[in-house]
Amino acid sequence: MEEYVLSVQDLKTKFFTRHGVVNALDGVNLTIRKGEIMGVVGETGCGKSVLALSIMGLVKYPGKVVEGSVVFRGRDLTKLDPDEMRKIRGSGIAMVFQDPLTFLNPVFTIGDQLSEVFLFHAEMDRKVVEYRIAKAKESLAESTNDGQRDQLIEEINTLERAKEAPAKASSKEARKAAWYFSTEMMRLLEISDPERVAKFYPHELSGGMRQRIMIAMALALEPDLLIADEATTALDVTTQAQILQLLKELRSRINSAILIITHDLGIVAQTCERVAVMYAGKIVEFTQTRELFSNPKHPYTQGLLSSVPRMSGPEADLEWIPGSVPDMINLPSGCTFHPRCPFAQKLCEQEAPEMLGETSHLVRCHLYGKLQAGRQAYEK
Amino acid sequence: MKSDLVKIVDLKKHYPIRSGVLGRTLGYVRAVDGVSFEIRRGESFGLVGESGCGKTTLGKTILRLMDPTAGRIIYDDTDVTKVSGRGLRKYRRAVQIVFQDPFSSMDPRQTVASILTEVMHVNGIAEGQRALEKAIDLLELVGLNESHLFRYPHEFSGGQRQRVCIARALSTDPEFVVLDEPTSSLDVSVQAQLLKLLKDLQKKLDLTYLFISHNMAVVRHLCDRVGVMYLAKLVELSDKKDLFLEPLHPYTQALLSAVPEPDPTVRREGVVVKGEPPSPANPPSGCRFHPRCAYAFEKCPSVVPELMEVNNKRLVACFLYDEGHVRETG
Repeated sequence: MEEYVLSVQDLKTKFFTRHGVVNALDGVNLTIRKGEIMGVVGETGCGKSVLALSIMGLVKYPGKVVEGSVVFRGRDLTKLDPDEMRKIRGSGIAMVFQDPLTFLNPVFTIGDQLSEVFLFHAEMDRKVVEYRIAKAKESLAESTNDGQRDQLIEEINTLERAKEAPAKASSKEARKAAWYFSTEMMRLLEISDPERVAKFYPHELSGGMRQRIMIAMALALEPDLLIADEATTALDVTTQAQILQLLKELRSRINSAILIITHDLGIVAQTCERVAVMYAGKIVEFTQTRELFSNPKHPYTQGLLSSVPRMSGPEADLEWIPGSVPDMINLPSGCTFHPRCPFAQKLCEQEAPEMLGETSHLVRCHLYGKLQAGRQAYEK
Repeated sequence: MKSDLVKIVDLKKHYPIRSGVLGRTLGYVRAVDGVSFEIRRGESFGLVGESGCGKTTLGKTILRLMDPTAGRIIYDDTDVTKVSGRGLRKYRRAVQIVFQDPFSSMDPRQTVASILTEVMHVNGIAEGQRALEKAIDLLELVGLNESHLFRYPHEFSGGQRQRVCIARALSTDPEFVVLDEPTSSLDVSVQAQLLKLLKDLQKKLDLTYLFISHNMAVVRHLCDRVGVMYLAKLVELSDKKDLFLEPLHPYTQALLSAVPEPDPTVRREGVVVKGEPPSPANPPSGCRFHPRCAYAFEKCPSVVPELMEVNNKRLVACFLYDEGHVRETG
């Protein structure tokens, strides 16, 4: 039995707008394993960001999660009240968005904002003790005097015992400890000279640096799941490469699962282990990354893959998918991809396909179900 | 050998940093700092670099949308650096630009017909019914049709909007078109269509492109020759094939290896550069890339490398390819 961090079952999110109901998510099933990096890929308006917001319980009016469940730590997040949900965010599931500047407060320093995460969410009494232990260990490493060393070791032992039932810490101590752990987090994200950077305001940092701060905030409480929604889209490629490398390393360090939401197939290919392809509010293909790129089954995935210009290999002419993403208020009948699909049949217009195939490679297409005979004849 | 259509010589564009009530100039942001290259007739010249390297400023300066601080722009053997009035108008008919964001580069209150005919009217190309007929031809050229003529920009998808922008750029029958990240706000499937369109148009109308982009894969797909910019300077210039096969400058190597390839079986073991590009207001001394360069040696922080020719006609601004250095290190 595999262990899942998160299990999304038949999730439906709708937006009730003046022009009609938008079915942003139309029955999404998704499971994320412990410590894996999973990708959700799709084009503009396919609902991938709404999926992230629905998991986090951040869908705003006029949107609403109308059906389905998001099970995390044995509880259905869609049924939690706002206070309980707030506790899950940060310590359980954390999220990094595309534009860090919108999510950082311009009038507080980086250090203040990082500390706040600890002060709000962490058990500060225990953190203060941990902070003292860390400080004592630092002095121990520097000390050469034997008498002083014994004293410090004694102190560390007492503190270790006190960790189980920490005394109430003063707010001043708590702030000091939070600041210390903030700089430690920044060090983890390879920010050089964190003590100095902690005193900066967001506008004094570059885009890549801000995104590192956002990731530091998200990972501060060691969440089981980190959702990165187009987290590197606004960055330059060299910075993007640095951040993606960092995410991969951190995943093994603190054992968080990561859900990467992106439109960039390159990022998926290079970082994710499994991937879900979304189209018009539905997952149309779900499999291992290697399998998806070597054996794409859904005509949409095939089209998407052949339309990306590549950096290596022969320079082939690009192909594309005719038409454009459907209007989410008036979705086509049957399979929502049929108007753009080169293999569409009568059946595709009439009946929406289910997820088909083995669990290791699921695909939502009639070609692998009722129209299988036709496909096999065609392939021959 | 194709002749040069556009030639820029030691082009500079510096923006003053002003401060205080009196607007004293405190310094300059050197957005473009001494760039020279030529674009041959009928080719696609790609200009790549990361945000803030000055590639857009360079494109706009070539079109004389901004006046250069120093240097010369030679178009079709005529110096256009200082032309004004009628001469500038004539130049602007021959050169056009397509911007990155099709949402903000069109007036939301104008129909496609008026967007296209206005350009023709202003440039004295066609009026009235003739202009409308030409507008229809242009729309058909870019894959739209007559039915789109009286629609407003918001009625179009991003890809269609960019097609209208291309039609507008073509309405003066230009020879030279600057494409400033024309596909970067579009989805991949739409981008592929647009790239095909641009290629076809180039062939059909005998156009010369300056293609500005941060997307290396797209440049590889569309361009013939590529110039790589880093912090206001050109660091490498070569044929596309050579550049992608064997990048010479350490920055180009880093840039190419940082692009995630959409193929999980390809792992690029490349140089990952440390740190981030410094500010163009206060660039590092010597070679501007030296603080991030893995191969930097004594000479790099003190002397500015110039573009020099190596391995048959490739240009690179890096001391690693200096004869003296090569001799010493073998």
